[in-house]
Amino acid sequence: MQAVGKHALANEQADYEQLYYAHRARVLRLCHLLLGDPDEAQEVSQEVFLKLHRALLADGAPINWGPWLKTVAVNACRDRRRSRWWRWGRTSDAYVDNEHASSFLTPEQSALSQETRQRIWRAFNSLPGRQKEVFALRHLEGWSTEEVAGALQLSSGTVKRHLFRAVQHMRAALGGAK
Amino acid sequence: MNRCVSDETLVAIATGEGGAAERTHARQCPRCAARAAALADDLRLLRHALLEEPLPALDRAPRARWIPVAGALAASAVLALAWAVAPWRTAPAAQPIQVAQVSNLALDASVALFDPSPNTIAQVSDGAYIEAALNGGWPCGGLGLYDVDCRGADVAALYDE
Repeated sequence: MQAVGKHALANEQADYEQLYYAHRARVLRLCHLLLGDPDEAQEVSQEVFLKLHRALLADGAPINWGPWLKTVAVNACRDRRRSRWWRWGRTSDAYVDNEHASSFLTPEQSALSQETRQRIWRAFNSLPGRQKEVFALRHLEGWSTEEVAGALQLSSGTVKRHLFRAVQHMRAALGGAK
Repeated sequence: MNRCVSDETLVAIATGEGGAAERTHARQCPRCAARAAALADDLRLLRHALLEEPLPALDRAPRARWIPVAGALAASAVLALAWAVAPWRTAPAAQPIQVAQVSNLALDASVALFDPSPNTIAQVSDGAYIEAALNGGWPCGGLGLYDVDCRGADVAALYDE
């Protein structure tokens, strides 16, 4: 009996590591996009993987862990944004083009000019929270409208409206960069 | 479908949605096809920039700490001022004068003016004194009673009462 328990625990540990390495980068990137702050993104993604660990221990039922992790990440980022004004005095919101921050490409590999990246980043950061979430899940993560609506507890019509407004806003910012 | 599709529909088509008729129109209409192509290019660029390009980091320069403190002080001052001038803090409205108060006042005035008791200010001897003074000058006031020039009649008139 004890051997079976140990075996299950070892399986869960293996599952956790597999899931962690498979999804860590995308979850971190999503948190960075939604929070606009790499340090907070690190903290929130750690919380997300802590929840994954607990979920693996608590529930053996097979879950589609990728969307589950991203939904948990979006909710955790929203909670973090709500409590952010307490730490208002901590930092300014000026962005610097830190080439090493959460990058998948080196600066040499980057195809876009620094100005274009800054412009897109600022435009994305100035979106309202819901529009950011919808744009990230619908366009960047490739979820369907219904999946986004289910994860964010919105109607399909609201998801479409948020997506349209976000795209308009982002394109307006892009207009000056092209 | 002959009418050009709206921007919202174009976004829906670009993200894999939209009705069949709208999709067909967006493909066949040169104007809508150009709009759809421009939108697709922009979306591709945005996706690339946000998913694959390095994201900028926050500048960690601390904000001036005095700003929230000064804001809190200013807010406190405004609240204190508002409290001081608030309508519910002004003096209570004057009470209407009661009939009894008017009667008492009239009685007090009457007693003060016409009461013949020695404690009141207006006395008959004062009238006589004034009359004597008018008739013969100002002969015998106070210590003047013992003056040589003080006339007996006037003094008598003073002490008539």
